Amino acid sequence: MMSPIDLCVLSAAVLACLMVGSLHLRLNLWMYGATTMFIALATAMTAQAHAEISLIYIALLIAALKSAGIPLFLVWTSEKLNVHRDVGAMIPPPLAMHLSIGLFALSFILTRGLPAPEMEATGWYGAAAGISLLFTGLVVMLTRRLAIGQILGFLVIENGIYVFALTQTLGMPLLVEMGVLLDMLVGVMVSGLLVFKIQKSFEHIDVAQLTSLKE
Amino acid sequence: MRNYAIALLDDRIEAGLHGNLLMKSAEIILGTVVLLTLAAVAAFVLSHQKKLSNRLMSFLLCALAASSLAALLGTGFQQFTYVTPAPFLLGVFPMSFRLDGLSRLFVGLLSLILFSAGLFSTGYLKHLEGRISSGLYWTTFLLFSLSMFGVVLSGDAITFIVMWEIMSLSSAALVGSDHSHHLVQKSALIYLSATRIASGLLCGGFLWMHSLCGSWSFVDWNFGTAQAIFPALLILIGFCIKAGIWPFHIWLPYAYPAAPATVSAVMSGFMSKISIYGLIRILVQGGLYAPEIINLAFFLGAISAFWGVLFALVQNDLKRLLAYSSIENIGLILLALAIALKARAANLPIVADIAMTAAVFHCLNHGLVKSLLFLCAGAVDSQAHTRDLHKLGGLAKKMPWTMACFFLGSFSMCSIPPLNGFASKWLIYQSLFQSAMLNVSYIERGIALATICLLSAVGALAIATFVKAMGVGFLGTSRSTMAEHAQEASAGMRASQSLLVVMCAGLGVFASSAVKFISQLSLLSRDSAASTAVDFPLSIPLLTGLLVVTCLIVYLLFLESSKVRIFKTWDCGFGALSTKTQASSDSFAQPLARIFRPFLRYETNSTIKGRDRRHFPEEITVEVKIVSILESRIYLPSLAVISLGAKGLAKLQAGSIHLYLIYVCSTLVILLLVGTAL
Repeated sequence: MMSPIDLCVLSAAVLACLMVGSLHLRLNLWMYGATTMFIALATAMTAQAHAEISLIYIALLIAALKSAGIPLFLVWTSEKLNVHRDVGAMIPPPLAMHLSIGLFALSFILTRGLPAPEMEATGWYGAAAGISLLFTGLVVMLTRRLAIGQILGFLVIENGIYVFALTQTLGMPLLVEMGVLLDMLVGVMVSGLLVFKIQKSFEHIDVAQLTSLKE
Repeated sequence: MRNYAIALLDDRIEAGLHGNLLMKSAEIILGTVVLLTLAAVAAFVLSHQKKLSNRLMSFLLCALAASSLAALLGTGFQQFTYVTPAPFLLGVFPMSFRLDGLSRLFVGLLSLILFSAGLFSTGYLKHLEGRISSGLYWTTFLLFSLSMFGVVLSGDAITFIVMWEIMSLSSAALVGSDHSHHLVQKSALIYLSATRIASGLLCGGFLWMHSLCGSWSFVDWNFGTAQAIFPALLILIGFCIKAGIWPFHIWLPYAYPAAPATVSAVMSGFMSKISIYGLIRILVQGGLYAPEIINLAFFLGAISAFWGVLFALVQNDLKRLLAYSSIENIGLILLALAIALKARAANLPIVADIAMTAAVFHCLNHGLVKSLLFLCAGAVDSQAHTRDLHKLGGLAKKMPWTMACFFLGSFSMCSIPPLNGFASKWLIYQSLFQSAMLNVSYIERGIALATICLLSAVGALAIATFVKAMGVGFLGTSRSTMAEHAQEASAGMRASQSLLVVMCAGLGVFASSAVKFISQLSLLSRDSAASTAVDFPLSIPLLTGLLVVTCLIVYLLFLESSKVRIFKTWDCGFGALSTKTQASSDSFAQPLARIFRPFLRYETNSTIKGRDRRHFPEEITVEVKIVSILESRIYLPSLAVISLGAKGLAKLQAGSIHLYLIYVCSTLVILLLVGTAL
């Protein structure tokens, strides 16, 4: 039995997998925005299903900040830095997309075996979507060379954690959720500024070349 | 006024406030500990006011040591435990301190050594000016002192290990304080890694004991069970590494010479004894009976005693010589400890009591004497700017006071009555003789007799070692201009040496009361009623008198009669006699060293150059090399294997974010798979 909530988060996971297939920064960021919009929708539906008013606010905040604000800020950053396309690392994007689809399937196998008693009640589609998003985020970070790509991967991982928490615990208290959102926003701002700084110091934002800092 | 004070005191005793007085003393000791921390901070703040900070800190150190001594004298024999209240916790554990007979004795020794180190510092640090940072030195030194108080007073394993770590790290920093020299850097690193291994083993042993006994407090630990043998082994080896017992002594001849003299005095005088303290506190009082562990300790102690003195004999660096001699003495102490444990297991309480008293008394004696000798070596180093015996000589006329102190210390090391070294070594021999007579098993009797032989060889070699140190270092004529321009050490330095000499002589003369005092401290068990007094039946003044009379008779009979003839020595046609015609450090040690060639790997290469090199040599070079088999055959190869492995591991750290992400991702997947599979 698949509920509309599960459908929403699974589409978010699939959309994230598709995002891996492209290297265009602007496209990537807007696809991330769409993924997050699905998650906001799932949050709103959860609020309706369980009559939790506070989840509505959270859904609105996610829609406003995470699915619109952050992509806008990062698009602005990339315009400012005059980068439009990632170079790609390790594996070519089509292969990476198929890899993340494979991990999507793997996450279903993994969640089935998870020893969580709540999963009987909430269904494990949501958990699978969360873990799949986590893997997708890691794949994004693995296959991007520019610092903005790394931020994007990190954001996808965060989405995965949020989805897992939302579907398994029906959302955290409003205060915690607000705190997490604020942290996210600040984190993205800071890393955006860092990207500027890296560009200034190293004249590129290619993380594959930042190996001399290892000691 | 005096009557009033006595009346007041009587009132307090009548009112049952004697316990309160006891608590006051405990507060003074704890207050000392707190003040030491504050002083450490002050030293850091004052670091650029060198002269002021040196004086102030020396004074503070002396004052604090004196106050803790006073507090000790104020308390009686009672034991008490102090557990820190709520805000002063180590994480979630309260710190627990325990003051009883054993720790009282060690606190006393530490205070004495710190007091003399404090007196010595002001004059000595002038010599190191510009080479060490005085703020850093004082901060770490005070932390070091503080942590040693902490280790000795700690009542549970958590407090012990925390204090132990502060002690290890601060002493490592002190060893490296003159870090512009390459050798000092190397020494500090070797010492640091030795302490890491020791702490690791100790932590392992403590955790194991915690899981066996379910408590961190030393009082609850029982080593009498069969499972406790492995934690006991870990703890024994951990302490042996820190004490510098063979074959873990490798760090010691590097660290002691590299450290400033005050530091090496405290390290050798007290820090190495802390390991013995730990062994007594944890293993002996924990009721260790396992014969494997006891025999291991016995064997290691015997080997260290012999190995240490053999290597001390062939050293040319004064402080290195003293360092090896420390290995010898720690070996002797461990040996005495093992004899006590053996005797307890064989149900011979008399032997056990004698050996235990001997071990603790030798800790005390060696602590005082070795700090005295290290301070004297420091004085020589600061005045002659070298510790190389090849460059010293003739200091007797330049530094008579230091010479007198060094000679008295050396006499004590050679165990000549009335000095204190005699009394404790006599007790060790006594325990061995008793165990040779009282033991049922003939094997044990044989072992005791063989150990007596070994100890007499060790004693003879110790005499040779210190005759060499005294003769080559202080007598004859100077071998270099540096030694020629040496002057007597400053008043503070002399005062601190004299204080230690007085303590050594005092402990020697009043040995019988000291032995009685120590033997009543109930060292073998935590049960205070179980101790019996050990008698010291010798009369030290009588013995000294006999010795003096014998010396006089020998002098009058053999030496006085040989008339002094004044004539010119034939110089073999090589020109006037120079300082090089004296017996050198190597030439003194060589005949003895040759006997022990299988152990010592003593290599001499001499080359003579010149046209007709037999009769008219132009250049003669003699090179003496001591090859340490342990270091070259065992430690260096195993170190090479470790560093090879480490290089392989370092490839994992490539610096690439992508690679790290792969690690994270694969770990996550594997963990989830493992989690679901289970």
